[in-house]
Amino acid sequence: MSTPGVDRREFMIQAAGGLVAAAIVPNLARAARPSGMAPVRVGVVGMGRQGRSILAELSVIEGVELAAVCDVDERRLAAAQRRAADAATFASIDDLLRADAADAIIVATPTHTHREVATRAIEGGRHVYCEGPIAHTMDDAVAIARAARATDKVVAAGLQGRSNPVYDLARTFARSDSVRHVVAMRAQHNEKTSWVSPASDQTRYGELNWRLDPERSTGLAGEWGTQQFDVFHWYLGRYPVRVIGHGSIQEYDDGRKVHDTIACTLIFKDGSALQYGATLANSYEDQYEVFYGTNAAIKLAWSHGWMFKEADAPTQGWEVYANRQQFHKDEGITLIAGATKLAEQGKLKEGVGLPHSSLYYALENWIGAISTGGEPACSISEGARATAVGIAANRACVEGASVDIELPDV
Amino acid sequence: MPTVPESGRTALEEAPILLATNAMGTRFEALIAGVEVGVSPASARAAGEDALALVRDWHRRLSVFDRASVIARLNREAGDGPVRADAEIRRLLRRCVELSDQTGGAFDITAGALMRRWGFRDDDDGAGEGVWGLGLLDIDDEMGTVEFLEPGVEIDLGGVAKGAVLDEAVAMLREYGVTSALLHGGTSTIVAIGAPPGEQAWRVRVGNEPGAPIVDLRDAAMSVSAPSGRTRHVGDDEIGHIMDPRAGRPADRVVGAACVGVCALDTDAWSTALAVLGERPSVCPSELTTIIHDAGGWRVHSAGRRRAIRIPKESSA
Repeated sequence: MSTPGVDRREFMIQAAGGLVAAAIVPNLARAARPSGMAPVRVGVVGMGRQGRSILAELSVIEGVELAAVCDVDERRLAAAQRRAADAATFASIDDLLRADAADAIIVATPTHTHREVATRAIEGGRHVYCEGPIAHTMDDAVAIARAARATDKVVAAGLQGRSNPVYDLARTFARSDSVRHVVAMRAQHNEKTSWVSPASDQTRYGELNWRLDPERSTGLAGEWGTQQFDVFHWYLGRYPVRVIGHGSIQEYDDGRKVHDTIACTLIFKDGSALQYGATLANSYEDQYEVFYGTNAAIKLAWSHGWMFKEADAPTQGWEVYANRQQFHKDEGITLIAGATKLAEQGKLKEGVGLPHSSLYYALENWIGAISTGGEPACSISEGARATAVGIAANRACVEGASVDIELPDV
Repeated sequence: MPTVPESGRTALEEAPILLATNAMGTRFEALIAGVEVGVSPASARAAGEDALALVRDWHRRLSVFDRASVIARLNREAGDGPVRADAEIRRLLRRCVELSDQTGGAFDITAGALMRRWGFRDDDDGAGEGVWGLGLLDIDDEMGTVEFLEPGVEIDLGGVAKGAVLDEAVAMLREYGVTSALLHGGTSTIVAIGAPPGEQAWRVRVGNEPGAPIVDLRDAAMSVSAPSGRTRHVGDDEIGHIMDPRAGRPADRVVGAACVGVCALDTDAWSTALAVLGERPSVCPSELTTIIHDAGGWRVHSAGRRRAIRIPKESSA
């Protein structure tokens, strides 16, 4: 049977697209926002690089009024206003709350200040989205989680994997016979940067460079690793019980005490392990997470995901039509978000990534939960547990030791 | 934590900081040679890193090849109705529209479909003919949206993206106390902060050809456009990547064109327009210095001593 006006090759591609869609399309549909509902007035506290990225994403999310921006630094506030021209500006969370300028607060300040900002916002009756790690100490993480438990507002942790459509899609495979038994895991975050924030005087230099202060920083394992560790917690439904770490200063001989290169092994109760590495001295392959299963490996890289099948793994019907990418000797099946629509448009091809950033989906999920009264993809309790793992991993790297991981009761 | 040593304006003279990143299909470099008193080399390096991070951030926002970029989303959806875009993007698009009007359409960011038609997009999705031209964008600041007034419009900021982001990067470096630096994106857009220590200006040669003009840049930007910068073959003909939106075909009147001014976004747009027009039009702002290289040699219209241009003796002009 043929379709008038469609040649055979195109028909095959469309048909294949349909099959692929049935098999590997993630659920991009979000909870519908009630029509006629007033937009959520959002205030963003902390106008560093992450804060400015948040502004760009918020400005395109339906149902959001970008109402307020807050930072102690006037230069950063001015930069924020270029991106959010109509937002009111504040120098402190207290001023923002007093002015009743926002119904929902995003905490994008330095990690060691999250407790102060987040708890004030929660106690002030606001919905809160707190960047991960949610704190630099377990006392602070528990305090935020307990404050969240006492409110009926939506309090989310900014761990983005749980709301990322590609990660959601890949998780269905990781938890199925497609991957089967996950025997090992690996992740990395490589980025070539000194991790220094520029400043023109010593006081501001100290304030801005909290990540290089061992008292205030959770190091590479905490600041970067927490985000990635949570992906494994979410996929496996369990947490590592112990972490062995090592860290060193390989590149930046500038008097810093916080390591610029780390490696650690997070060990689960069944003996399986997650190998994690991070460095500020090299950017090769950026950041990714890999699950090694007996039937396939899954590699995730935030906007993209792939599945690498073992030769002896059972074949599934849709694979014949799936899009593939070559990586040296291995061929990865591309896990594509929104494959149905792309197939219909004839755009189902190599290298197709998400139509939005991972941050967009995390923020959209939180706004959706506020609008519909639902639960966010990543609760603050999950955030506290992931933070506990990040803090323990950092301690292991700092001490070059084995550290037992104790999860908070939140 | 690293400390901030007291340092002077010439602290970086002996060891200027060179940083680089890959973005917008090319290599961006920042050479930082001088800072204000009190700014340490570590802080200067960090400022450079922040500036290049800004370049990568803008690349992710502007690239037509990245599905998650703002421009890619506009191209997908703005033909069907208003699409939300942040204030920075709207301001950039509005300035581009002004420059399109100013250049009489010789520079036109809506000509993305024209690039596709001539094979300069790396896809084969069978897009239709497309439309382009002045007056096809509706930028609504009150609603915070952008809309294409006809379906088939495709924005392509390839002609000005480097300039736009380098303007932002330079502003950031100045705020952090950088007093001497040279930044470029793929050597086609170059911005100078101050001058090298002990010198009057950064000295930049326009292209590799013998006799190419040498431009002194001090607190100024220069953009170069050449059809040969990227080419492909159509039958027996080799065509360049600079499109003449008015004619609907590749521009072929010049070997190259350059523009020197204060704002890199403007010099980017005008160097493209000059490459399309083949001559400096009367509406070209008087503060812009222009250089056109065609079969007749080099033609320079200088805007004054501040951005001095020297034509070497071997020049054919």
